[in-house]
Amino acid sequence: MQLTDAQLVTKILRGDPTGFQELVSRYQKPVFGICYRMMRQREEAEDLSQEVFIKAYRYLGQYNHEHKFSSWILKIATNTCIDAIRKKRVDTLPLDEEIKTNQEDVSAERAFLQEEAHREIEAAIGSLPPDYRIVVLLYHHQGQSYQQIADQLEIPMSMVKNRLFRARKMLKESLKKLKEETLWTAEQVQKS
Amino acid sequence: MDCRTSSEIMIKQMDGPLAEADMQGWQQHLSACTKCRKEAAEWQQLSVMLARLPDLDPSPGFERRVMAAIDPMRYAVRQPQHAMNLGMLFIWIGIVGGASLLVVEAAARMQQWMMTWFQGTALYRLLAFVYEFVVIRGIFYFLMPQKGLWDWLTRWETVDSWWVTMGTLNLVMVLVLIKVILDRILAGGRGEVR
Repeated sequence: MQLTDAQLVTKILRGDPTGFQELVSRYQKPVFGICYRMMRQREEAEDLSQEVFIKAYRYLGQYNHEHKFSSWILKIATNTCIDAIRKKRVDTLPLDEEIKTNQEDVSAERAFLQEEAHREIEAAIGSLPPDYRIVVLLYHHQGQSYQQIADQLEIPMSMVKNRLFRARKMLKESLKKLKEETLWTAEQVQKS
Repeated sequence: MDCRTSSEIMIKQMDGPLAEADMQGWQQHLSACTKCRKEAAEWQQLSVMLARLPDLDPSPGFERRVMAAIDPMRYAVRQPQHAMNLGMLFIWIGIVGGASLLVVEAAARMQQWMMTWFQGTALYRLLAFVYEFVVIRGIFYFLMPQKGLWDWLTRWETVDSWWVTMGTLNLVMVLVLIKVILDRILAGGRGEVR
């Protein structure tokens, strides 16, 4: 039977570090997803993700079993990224590579459209200020509630709602702009 | 419903299903307003795109690299085997020392008899000399500086173990008491300390 996150934490705290490998396996994708979309560079995102797990392991004794482990580790990831951004002043750089999606079960045309849609939304998210970007990622990708995000970012819930509201508007505008640019480029190609 | 309220509902819709009352009024507005219909389609598209954000994988070997970077002994129970063995050694030394103490104490109480029968003989002097110089001074001047023993006694892991700490205290106490009693014996029972 698979151990719960809390049981794995207890196992590690009793001196068996193998339980941590299971936690890394469970949370590497969400942690890396946050780091990559915040930092926009794979190598740096991997370094930061590693730092997140090392911090989590080091402070595992402080983890409160009343809260979800996923919220706790995402909070570490969020704070680590925000600190790194403040140090580096990373803002709105494009992703350093295109994000590949699973295309095994879709036709070539549909896959192309999906790829295009992903590229557009990633670009739009990347163009958001970091404070807004993290709220969008935590809410829409990690499925966190307003309250959880407020706890993680240590800001009032009203501020979370406000940032999300503005971020969504900005995303919509970015997507609209991207679509217009794409149409304009397509028209230019047809004319030439 | 006006276009402003309709826009608010569009954003609210991204947080989950709308209330029946909101939905009805909004649908009616959309059927009549082309601008809002277009905007609703844009919000819908954004909502779908955000929901379909793909999971991202770190490069292969990420787990292995994390596991290599953590200290596997951080939460291990700290009781090194050598510290346990050394602790037990000191406990036994304490027990043997304590037993020796009783024997020496008994001998001291038989001092009068010893004085008349034994004191002054060459054998008594030789035994006293051997006990003090070989056992007591031998431990402090010869055994302690030997490589290993001193390290054992001063290493943190050794001190960290309460077994060893108690054993060391026990040993020191026994040695001090032996020295005191020995001095009494060598002083010939006159209360003088050499």
